[in-house]
Amino acid sequence: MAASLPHPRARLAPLAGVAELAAGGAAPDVVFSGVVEAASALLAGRPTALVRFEEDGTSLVLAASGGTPVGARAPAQEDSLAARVRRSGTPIRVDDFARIDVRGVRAGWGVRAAVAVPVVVEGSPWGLLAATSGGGPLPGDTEGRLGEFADVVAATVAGVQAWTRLRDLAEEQAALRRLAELATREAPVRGVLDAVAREASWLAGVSFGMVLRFEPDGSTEIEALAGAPENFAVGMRTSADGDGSAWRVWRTGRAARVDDLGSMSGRWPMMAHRFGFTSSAAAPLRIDESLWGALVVVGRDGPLPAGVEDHLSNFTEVAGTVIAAVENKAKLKASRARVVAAADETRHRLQRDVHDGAQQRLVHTIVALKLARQAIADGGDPAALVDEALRNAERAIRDLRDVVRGILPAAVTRGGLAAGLETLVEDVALAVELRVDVPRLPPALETTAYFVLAEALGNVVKHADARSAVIEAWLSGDVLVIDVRDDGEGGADPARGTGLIGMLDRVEAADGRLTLSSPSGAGTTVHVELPVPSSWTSGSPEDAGGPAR
Amino acid sequence: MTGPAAALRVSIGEDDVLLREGIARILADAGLDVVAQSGNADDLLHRALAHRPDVVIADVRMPPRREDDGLVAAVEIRRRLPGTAVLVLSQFCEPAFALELIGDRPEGVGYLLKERVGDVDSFTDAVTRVAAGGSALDPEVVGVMLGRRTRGGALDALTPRELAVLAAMAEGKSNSGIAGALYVSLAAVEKHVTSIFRKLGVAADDSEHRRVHAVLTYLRQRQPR
Repeated sequence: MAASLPHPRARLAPLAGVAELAAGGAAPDVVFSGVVEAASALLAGRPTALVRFEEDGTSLVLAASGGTPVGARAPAQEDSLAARVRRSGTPIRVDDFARIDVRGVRAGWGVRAAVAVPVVVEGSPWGLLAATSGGGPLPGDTEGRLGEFADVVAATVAGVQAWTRLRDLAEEQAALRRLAELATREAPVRGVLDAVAREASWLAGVSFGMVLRFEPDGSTEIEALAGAPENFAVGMRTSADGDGSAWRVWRTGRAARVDDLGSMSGRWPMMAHRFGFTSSAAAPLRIDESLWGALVVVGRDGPLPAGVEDHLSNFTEVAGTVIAAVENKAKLKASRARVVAAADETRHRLQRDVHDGAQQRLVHTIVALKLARQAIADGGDPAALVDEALRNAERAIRDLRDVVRGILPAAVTRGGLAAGLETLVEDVALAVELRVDVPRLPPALETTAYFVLAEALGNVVKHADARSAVIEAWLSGDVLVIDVRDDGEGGADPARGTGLIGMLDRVEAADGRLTLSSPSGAGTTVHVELPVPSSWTSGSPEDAGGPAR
Repeated sequence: MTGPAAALRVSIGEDDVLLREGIARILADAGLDVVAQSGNADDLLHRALAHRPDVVIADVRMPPRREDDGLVAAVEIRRRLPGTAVLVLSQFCEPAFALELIGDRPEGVGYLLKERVGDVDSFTDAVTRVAAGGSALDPEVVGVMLGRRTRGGALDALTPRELAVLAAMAEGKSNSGIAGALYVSLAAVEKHVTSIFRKLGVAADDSEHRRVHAVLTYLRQRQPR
């Protein structure tokens, strides 16, 4: 009998193989197969099975080596082998199933005898590892050998369980969905980061989570924490030099893990290690394509489950999208506010221009005419007063013309962008070359393009110290492309002055793009692309009310 | 028009030099004594405090800020010189400005659109009227106030004639002034006035400035928005 069993030394080999398998992060079913194969090898090739106790009392065969089919489910039955192992928490031996009445096992699977040892995971019965025989009873030391092995199995299963918990798609999807919903609720960025740290650490189970932000120089700052020891706090920073999962993310742009925090030189690993944490993993958090920071989870019991980085990446992807959406909304709000403010300012200026200009002239006109009427009634000479009234009326009409032109030049409404630009350029104290080849476009687009160009040209005159400028406009497919180039000093900065921001708001409001190239000393180029509505380009010009005139 | 024993002393604040001098000439021709002229609101206030004129004429929009500086100065002058009447000339047909100027004291105060200056007689009449403690509210401003109140409310109950009388009261006209302007008898005006106050639920009062007060209070209340 003993001769049929491998030598004790050889026994270690299959155990070590299984441990290796689990530590290497193999998929659960692979690990389970390894477990039963190893156990079978240990027991001279006898059929073995790994069975999990289900909540409803049934038992599920997760893996088997010979005999029992994987996926088979044994019903809940009080005197079944599984029920007895589950109840007692001790090894159970059945030398002859014929003597007890257990349906299914005996009849269906051709099992005559069996030994089952409990697999206890984190203190509670998780399942059993069984060896069976189709003939006589199993060797007397099977319990011991199987039990010796079961401890390793339990540890392996515990690891796999942590891993499966992390991998639990339903939970992860739910967590990701919760994150995504933050975008619709317009949660503040800080709230999104808190949620990411919380959800990630909760899913990882045994660890704490934090979100770090990278400064341009690679130093990091804690933006959010969940379940962290007390020596961590939001707002803490550390320099760029150091090693740890986050630094590796910063250097490589990819997810990273560290299994031995104690050997890391960075501030965060050292702080975590001091509190007994052993491992960490981090995934890059990108916002609008650029590396913004990292989501880090820190574990306490040896290395983190294999593949944890991938799951973190799922979270950072959603979080990055959510934050980008939230920030874009905030940007949109600010842009809208500026548009409203610009409109208010325009109204103010209009009111002032009319009040101080034409309206005032008309008051003079009326007063002079009334005085003239009085003079006539009194038998005097009204000529001087009538002249005065006329002068004022003429001034008023000139002022009004200027105001109306400032609202929107008639040249644009009548002749389109090209005609409007010709008028605009006439008024500018600068040599401007026009290369405009565009048909009539929708009025809103022509207006946008005109004012963007007017502002661009205004900026050139005011700031660029340029001698000449070139305006080019053409249609590229259904995009109106505009370039304004000057030979001035360059160095334009959108952050300074409202001209560029105002242009940007106009362009963005029209769903367009604006790029600025302004190297110091080499002139400035404003490049604008404005989409032409497809209804305009696809329909016939007459239908669209386009360039029919 | 020549002043009685002593000519009314007037100070003018208007940054439009031509108009300012036009006003000064019109008032001088009418026998008033223009004691000071200012092109900005701060100067207007200083000169008013120094000269203590009978009437200050002020533009709304004036330097230094070119906002409502003139109106602010006018309100301040009314507060600090209760004996000085204030007539604001403006291009803004804006009841809010008029009501702010008047406050709760419709005595010795007026708000006219600038072009009224050309109606020499009625303009000088307005100046002397506010100097005497009366009021002068531009008919167009009153029209806007009435217009805002016409849809719904007690004004619906007024006949067109009564509305005209109400407007004239708001302008600061006396019963005889109203009778002259509307070509009706003094008795008819009195009858309309009584009827108006009854319909609006406002306590009637014979004295003109209290009557203006009542009308303005009514027009100011519950302005529909």
